[in-house]
Amino acid sequence: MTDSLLSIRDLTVRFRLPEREAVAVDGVSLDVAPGEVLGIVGESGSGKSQILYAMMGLLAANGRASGRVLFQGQDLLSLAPRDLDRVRGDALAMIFQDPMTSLNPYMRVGDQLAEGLVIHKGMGKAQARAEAVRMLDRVRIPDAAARARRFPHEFSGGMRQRVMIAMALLAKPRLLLADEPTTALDVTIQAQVLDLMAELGRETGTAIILVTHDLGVVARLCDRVVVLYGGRVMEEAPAEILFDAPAHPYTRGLLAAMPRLETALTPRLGTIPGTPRSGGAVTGCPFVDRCEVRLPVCATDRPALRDLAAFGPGRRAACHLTGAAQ
Amino acid sequence: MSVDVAPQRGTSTFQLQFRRFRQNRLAMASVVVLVLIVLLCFLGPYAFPFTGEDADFDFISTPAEFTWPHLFGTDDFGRDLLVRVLEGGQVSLTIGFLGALVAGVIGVLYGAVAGYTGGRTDDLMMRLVEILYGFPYVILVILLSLLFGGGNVALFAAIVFTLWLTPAVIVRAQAQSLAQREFVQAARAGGMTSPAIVLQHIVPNCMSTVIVYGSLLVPEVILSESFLSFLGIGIKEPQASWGNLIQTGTSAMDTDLRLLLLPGVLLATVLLCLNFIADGLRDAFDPNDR
Amino acid sequence: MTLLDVQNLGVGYRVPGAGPFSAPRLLPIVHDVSFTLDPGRTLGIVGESGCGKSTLGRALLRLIEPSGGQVLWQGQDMATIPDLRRRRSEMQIIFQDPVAALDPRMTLARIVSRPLATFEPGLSRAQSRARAIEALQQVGLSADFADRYPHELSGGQAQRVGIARALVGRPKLIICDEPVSALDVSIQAQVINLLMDLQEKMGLALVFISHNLAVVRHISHDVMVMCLGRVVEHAPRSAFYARPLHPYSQALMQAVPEPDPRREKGRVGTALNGELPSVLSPPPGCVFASRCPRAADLCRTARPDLREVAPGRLAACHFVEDP
Repeated sequence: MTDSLLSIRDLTVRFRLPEREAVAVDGVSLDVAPGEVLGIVGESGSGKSQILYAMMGLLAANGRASGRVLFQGQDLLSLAPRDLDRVRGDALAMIFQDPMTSLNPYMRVGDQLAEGLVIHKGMGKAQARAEAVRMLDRVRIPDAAARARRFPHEFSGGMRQRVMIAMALLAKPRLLLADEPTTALDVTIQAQVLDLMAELGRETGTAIILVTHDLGVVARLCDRVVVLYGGRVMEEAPAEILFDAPAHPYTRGLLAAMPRLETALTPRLGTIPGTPRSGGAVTGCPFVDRCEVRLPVCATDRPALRDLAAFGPGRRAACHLTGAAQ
Repeated sequence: MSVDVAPQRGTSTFQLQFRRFRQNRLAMASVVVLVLIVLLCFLGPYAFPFTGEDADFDFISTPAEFTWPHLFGTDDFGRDLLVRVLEGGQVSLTIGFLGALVAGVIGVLYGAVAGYTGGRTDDLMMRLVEILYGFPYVILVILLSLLFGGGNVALFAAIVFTLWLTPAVIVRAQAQSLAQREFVQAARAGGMTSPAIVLQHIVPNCMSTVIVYGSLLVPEVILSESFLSFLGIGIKEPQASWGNLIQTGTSAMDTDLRLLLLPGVLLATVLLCLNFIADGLRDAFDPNDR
Repeated sequence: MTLLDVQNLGVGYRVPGAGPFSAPRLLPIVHDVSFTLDPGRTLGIVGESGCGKSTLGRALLRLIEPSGGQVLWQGQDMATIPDLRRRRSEMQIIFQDPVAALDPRMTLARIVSRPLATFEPGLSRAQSRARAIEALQQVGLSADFADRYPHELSGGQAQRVGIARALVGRPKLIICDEPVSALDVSIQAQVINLLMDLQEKMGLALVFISHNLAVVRHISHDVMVMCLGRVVEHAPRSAFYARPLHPYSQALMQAVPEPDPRREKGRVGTALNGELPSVLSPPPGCVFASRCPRAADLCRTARPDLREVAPGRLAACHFVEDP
């Protein structure tokens, strides 16, 4: 798509282990429009975090990414480290899950924020620090000027995560990657941080890719959702529609398994039998051994991600059953 | 409710670690070399018609001509150098491995109890360790050696007594963190007594650290003994140990290098092998692969 | 008869005094908690970090010594039970991190059967092993898991082993300390269903500690909300979820994201302001005063008591709404 901010085509991430090769991401393709919030949902082994790491060039030493990741006209995967450095922290920013370890414990918070501006925008130190304080204020850190001179351990988890958001958004990136940013936070703090991300994203026009296992978080923040299993995309849809009428058995299973506050109680939760599997080394659909509506063809033929125009705009699913129903 | 079936036959933690160690060529080669040296030291002397203490007055101070029976020549008492070095090896290696074992066992138990119990007991136990640490090593050994009667066994006891301290400190730190782990809390919920928890849960889970450290302890003990013998307070003549052989060799360095080289090279090789083995063990027990 | 009767339970940690020579002081983590639990019932305890729920769970089993109040087990004060170690077979616990709860060096059979050495020392090895396999099968793991090691298991399977270990002594009560928080959604559901099945089959009482209101709703009969070591609300499940009375409970409900985009998008901007108060320096009045949208001066100076505001419903708030 020509007006996409980000265009991922056939991304595959492999890890070389002593006994075998593990495939974490298996041919994932997706697009992100400018200013859009895309949610990538999956359980463990789905490869959702590895997609982000591959984009940012942060894969572990034994990891290899192939495919194309087009961002602002460049293929991130084929960039030399120096060129990637110019993009990272500037047009492309990332925040991580664990607020405890994401900040340098030896640097004052204000200085860490200012660092990015000095490097990427060539600002002078004093000006960068002033910008940093303004941003801290913007993310509602009380008493921002004084707090900027403190060290990370003097901040709570929720505040640190807000500092991370401040750091990421300072450079006014076009795309923000968020890897489970609220998973480690308490639920009332999580709500604050999600609201902040939504607000700031709209204000700066930054697109966000939010990786999470929590469908509730996705419902709160995302415009579109991609459901990942075993390293492959199972379903893709606008948020409202995904929750109302999921097209893929895995999505249906996830929604049935989630305990709710609002809907009527059932004697037992819906379950998906078996354990989530990792990607790779599978003929046919990766979900086949846990799927309750599987057909014989599901074990042998891998279903392609197909447009489901009949179901509505922007809907795709990789399922033999759904495709056949069209 | 669906019943899970176990995946294919897996391996115990120990098997995994062993496999990783085997893949480390340097470590495996060191094991082979070490075993060869040990065999040489303990079985080698039988190949010769004399012992390291037999003085052969016909052949005093002969150089190393690689002729039978005195392959490396004799010292100035007419004693065959090679056999003396091998017999010295027996003493040094025995003290080394045995000493490390004993110091290790004492240190591990002490540290595990201190770390798991915590509180004032831990404080007291560690204060004792710190006080002992404060004594100058050589003085402590001399005092203890005299205290225990001054023979070889006394020397051994004295060396062990000073060397158990560091394993104790290391294991205590490990035990402290293990004591907080949920499986230990589960054991307490399961009614296990504290001594049982220390022996069955804490100590086995410290074993990786202990083994790695233990393999570094052996060279320490050997060096200790060598150092003390070098100072003249270790193994006494006419019994050979690498320490006192090196001492003699050093004083004769200007005139007859081989008296120093033979024991020195063997000692250095053993220490090097032990260090590579320790490295290999540390990699094999890497926490990534629990 | 009532299984557990907790009366004014308090738990504190000894921390070093402020200066190098000051005496150590007691840092209270749990204050004045009271409740009862009958066989076959589940009490859900919810709260965020620092509310003391995990500490409370451990104190119920006396894995941590309480600093005040008492816990009566089947009518007897636990502090005076003569052979508590043996009696522990009746009250067990499962933990949040399923893999860390298993000794990595032991086989599963050994892990599960180990408590029997204390609780039923007369059993032979073969009998212990058979009991262990029976427990593993009760939680849905086939007998060939007996000789496996923890690192070969998935998170969900490891949690089931933890449950099997808790079951092997045939307990009457299991404390579940965030047992599903570390598990994937599809596995969470399996484990929750398993616990409910076991409760039905064996008449188990459960204390289910979690920060996840939705999970607690599913499994509990009664709900207790904690904040900074104190109980702020205590109510039967249906009444609680239909209408939470305490402002903190209401805030928690609001904050839990539901998989319903229309509803969630409408909630954006309703999040609570402020940080979680620090356990080290608790505020003088109501524990929730610093963040409560309805806080008045009274709330900041006088701590509200936990009182019955409606039949069977307790709340600690000066301005609780009519139920």
